[in-house]
Amino acid sequence: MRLPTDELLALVDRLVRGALSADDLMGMPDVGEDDKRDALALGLYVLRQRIRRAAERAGPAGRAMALFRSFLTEAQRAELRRRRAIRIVGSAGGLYRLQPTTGSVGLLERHGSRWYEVVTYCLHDAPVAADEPVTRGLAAALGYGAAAILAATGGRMPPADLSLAHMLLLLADEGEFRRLANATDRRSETLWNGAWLRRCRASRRAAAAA
Amino acid sequence: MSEHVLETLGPSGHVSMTWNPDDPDDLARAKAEFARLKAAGFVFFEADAAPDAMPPGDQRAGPMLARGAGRLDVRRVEVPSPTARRTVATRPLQGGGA
Repeated sequence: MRLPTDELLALVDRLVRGALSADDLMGMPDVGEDDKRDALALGLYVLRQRIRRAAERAGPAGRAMALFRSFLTEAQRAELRRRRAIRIVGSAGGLYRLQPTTGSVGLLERHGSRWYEVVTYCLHDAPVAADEPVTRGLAAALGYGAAAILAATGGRMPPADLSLAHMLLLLADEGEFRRLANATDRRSETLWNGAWLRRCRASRRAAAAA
Repeated sequence: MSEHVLETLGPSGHVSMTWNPDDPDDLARAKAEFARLKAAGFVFFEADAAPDAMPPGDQRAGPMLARGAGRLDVRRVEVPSPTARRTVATRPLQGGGA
């Protein structure tokens, strides 16, 4: 007779919290062998996930995200949780979306009730080379060898640090950001042309009905 | 004791350095670090305001931007001041393939 799911999960929870050892679990006479095996496997899975997340948080990408969040308002932090992106207004009035998980940035325009990313920008730190003066200065400033920095990162900042640099430059000097960045115009009237979208939907409905 | 912080962004993640501007030794350490980063080609931004203390910002995107977004007091500076509350140093940015 297998344990109900909630009781099995309660065992897993006790295992993960350390309130129940694996030996104690194996000695429980009222728990079947299959349930013991499942509880141990699930407990191991949960612990591995926690360790992986803790390692990510402690690594460069996780620390970069924490720093990025520290520059946000409470409302922006909530927006980041919900959308994995935030919107900011540049110093010249442009509205931008930053995605710190990827480091991407785009200019937003409102059409009807929706916002569209009409221009995307590419602006990043140059990958450092071991023999550049900037690498030697960076290695000295960060306390690592240049080779270790290059091997670990490919020579570029984590995406959230890049988003922070984008945000600061946009807030301080939006014109300079647009001057430096390579822009790709993604404006397409088909995105927000209501008549065209209605024709598309009608066509799809007709095809589905046929 | 007021604490000022420099966040240095780099490929291995950022590094934070704090100092007390009232302490001459601390101040000298901060100035030396600024000089070293400047020589390495870093760009500096100063941000004084705490995000949640910012004045109301742009309203176009609704309540999300109602408080502060776009109004964080950020200045790009050539020579950072050790009396700024929060300074971010980043390597120069360049355009890539969009």
